[in-house]
Amino acid sequence: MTGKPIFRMDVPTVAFGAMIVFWSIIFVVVALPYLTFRPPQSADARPLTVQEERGRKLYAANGCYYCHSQYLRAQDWTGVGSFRTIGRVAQAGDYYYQQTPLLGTERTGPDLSQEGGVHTDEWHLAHFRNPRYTFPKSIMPEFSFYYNAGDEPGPEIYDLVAYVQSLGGRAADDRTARQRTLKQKLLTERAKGNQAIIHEWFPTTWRNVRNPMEPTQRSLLHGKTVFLTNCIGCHGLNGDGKGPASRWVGGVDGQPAPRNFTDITSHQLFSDGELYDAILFGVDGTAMPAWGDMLTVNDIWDVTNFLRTIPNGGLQREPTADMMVSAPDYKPIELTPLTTMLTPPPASPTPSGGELATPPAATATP
Amino acid sequence: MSRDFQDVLATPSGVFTTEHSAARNWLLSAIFWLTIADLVGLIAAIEMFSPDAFAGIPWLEFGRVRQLHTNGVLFLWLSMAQIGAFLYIVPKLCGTKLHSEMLGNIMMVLWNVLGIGAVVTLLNGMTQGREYAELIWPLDVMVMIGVLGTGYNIFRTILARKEKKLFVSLWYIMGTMIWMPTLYFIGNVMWEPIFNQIGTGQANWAGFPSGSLQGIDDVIWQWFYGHNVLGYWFTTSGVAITYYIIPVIIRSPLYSHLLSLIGFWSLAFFYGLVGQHHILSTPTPGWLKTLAVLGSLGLFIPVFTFLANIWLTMRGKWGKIYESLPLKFMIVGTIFYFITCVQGPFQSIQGFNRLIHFTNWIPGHAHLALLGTFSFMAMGAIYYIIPVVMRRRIYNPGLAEIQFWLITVGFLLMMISLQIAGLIQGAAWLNGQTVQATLPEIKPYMAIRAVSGALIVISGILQAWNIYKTMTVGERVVGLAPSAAEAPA
Repeated sequence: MTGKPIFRMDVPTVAFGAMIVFWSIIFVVVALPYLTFRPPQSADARPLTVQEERGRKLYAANGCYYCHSQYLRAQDWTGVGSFRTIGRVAQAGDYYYQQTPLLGTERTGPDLSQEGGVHTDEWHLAHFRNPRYTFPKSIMPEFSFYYNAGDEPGPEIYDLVAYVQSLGGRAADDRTARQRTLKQKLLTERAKGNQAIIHEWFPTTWRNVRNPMEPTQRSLLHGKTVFLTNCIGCHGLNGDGKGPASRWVGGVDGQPAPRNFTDITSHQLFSDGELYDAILFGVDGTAMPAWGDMLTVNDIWDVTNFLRTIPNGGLQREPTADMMVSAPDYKPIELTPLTTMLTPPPASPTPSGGELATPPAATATP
Repeated sequence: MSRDFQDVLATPSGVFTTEHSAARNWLLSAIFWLTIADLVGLIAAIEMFSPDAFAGIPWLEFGRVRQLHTNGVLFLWLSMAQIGAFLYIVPKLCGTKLHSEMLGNIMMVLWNVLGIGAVVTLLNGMTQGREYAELIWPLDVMVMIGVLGTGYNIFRTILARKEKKLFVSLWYIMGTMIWMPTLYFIGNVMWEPIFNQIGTGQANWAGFPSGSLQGIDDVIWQWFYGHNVLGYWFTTSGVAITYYIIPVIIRSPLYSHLLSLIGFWSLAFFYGLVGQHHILSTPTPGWLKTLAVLGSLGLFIPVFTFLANIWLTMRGKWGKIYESLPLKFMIVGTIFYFITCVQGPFQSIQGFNRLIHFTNWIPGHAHLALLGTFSFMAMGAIYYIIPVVMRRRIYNPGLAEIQFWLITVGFLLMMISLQIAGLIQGAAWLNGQTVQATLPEIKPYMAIRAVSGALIVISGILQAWNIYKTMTVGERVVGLAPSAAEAPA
């Protein structure tokens, strides 16, 4: 060793020095926050029920929190169902009732802090059985080992679903309650034979919107790709609503089943705009999730075009425009071109002024 | 089984009482656990791009396998290798024998039982649910006993030393053995189950008592522990081992005592502050985050004093890398340490953190620290210490060379693929893409990562086999001073 020792490093110096430095730091970064930082519960926080707490333990036991975080940052406008939870940045009081909050440090899967009520219970039953049933691109492990021999969900799955539906606290309760109410309404009305009740799910303006995307070969093929890579888990390879997930998300005990697109009456029920809205925002009360933060506008219009070819074998053969079944008889409106809407009132001379479409309100006839 | 191996086992008491037996047994256990921890890591890596590969097997579910991988690497492989190295280095530096080989070996057995317990509990979903603090409370108690028992052994050895001067490695080892039990106890909130769960029938975690706090404070405590188990356990251990082994192999005195001093005390001071940089965007106090970022930047001081000290010690002796395999492992370890410690502080800066937090960049960085740096240093220590204590030459130096290149290439491939994937994810998310939609984009990198994992697994198995053959049929070294036995050339 070169250089003269500045001070002697003997055993007491090292041992007590190490201890003093360490305990000082513990005081600053552990004790001080504990003494000064005691956030009260947030407006959304609520204690978990016994079942939800059981689910939370299973969530931790299976290491779900390694891939799913439970806090949204200011820059995270995208979470699961982000359009419902936009701007809901995590608050310290959200974790008030949790011993060992499971915040997570990685997002291989989406953030789940506001997952409750974004999907229906039935969607979760299919998703836990095999996540690729509901989202083919998923790399989440399947939890088939919690399903019994007949592939019926075991008690663990119901606990897990209860926990996941609680994520988001009271806000999640509201969303979950809404999903369940809407499901009940749909079932009751359908039992009376009122298929048209589904129109209430969509804004009336959408009913009159025609697909702005020409059903070119490109559009139809792209639509087919989108369908095959996202939709077949529930709607099936033949588009008949009998995909592997359909066993859990519908049909069994009268739950709203995945739409059978081979059935021409389905196509006559939905206008292009309603299909678009259903894909963009999902159909609440059914297992149909929102695809708006996964698909582009073009993706959705293209798949809407493609869906119309399914009754005539669009999935079995190359889809063409003449395979498309007709959309319901409605009075279409033209979408107002954005450029026109942004243009100042007539005073300013604008070449596109002549293209002004009829205002939507004037033609909206539900 | 060869006759030579029977020599080792000839006197069962000798396995646990002869000089250096504790160090050897800890190191051999570490080598065994590395192969297991690597393998489960590979399984997890495969599941990242082929999620149905082991579908339906509950104990191979990704979340459980991942816990076993991290805990296996941290507490079974690295901790055991580093304690083994301590038990060799401390007596050497003190000019005396280890206080009690028997105590060292009892702790070794205890720690192996802990290892079996970790495998069984984690794969069955018994966990505390806190990252890096997953081991359930009874296993936490075993860790505490193991660390305290080993610390007692080490301190008694140091207090009985013949060599008056304390070499820098001993400072770090003493610090480590003081910091770790305190840190582990506080980080795991180990008193909480004693007061609130045991005997009261209170709800606990996964059927076992589990220490934690209520509310978001728990996260602050957990990440104080989560990062500092790295800082006050693996880093200080790795630095202590490097400070010993490199000067011994190249037979040069350490470059500077002053740099050692600055490095030691600045590490002791700055490391404790940095835990919060793991949770920079959580709703926790802002001053704590600022402190963590400053502490992370402050870590440049201990890191660069250490590296300058080691690399200046090497001046004029760089050629020795080609002669000594352990030296090669150590030096490459210091180079990866340099990269780790440049990445780390930048990651903690809010701007960069926005881009890379939550992404696969972070596992890349974690592998850089624990695989690239400390595993390399531990392997260097194993290739140095095992031949010396066994008085045998490495059975097949060529194979060890192949192992070195396998793990180097494997590790680099892993870090680069993970960090590219991380940048893709981070940029996509800031652009407004959802997490799920990004998955197909990182799939190729996940596949490359699994290939790199396979290289690392093969490397670990080669090491285990090579050391096993060294123990049994390695060429005996006669009449050489132990410290000279390492150089095969």
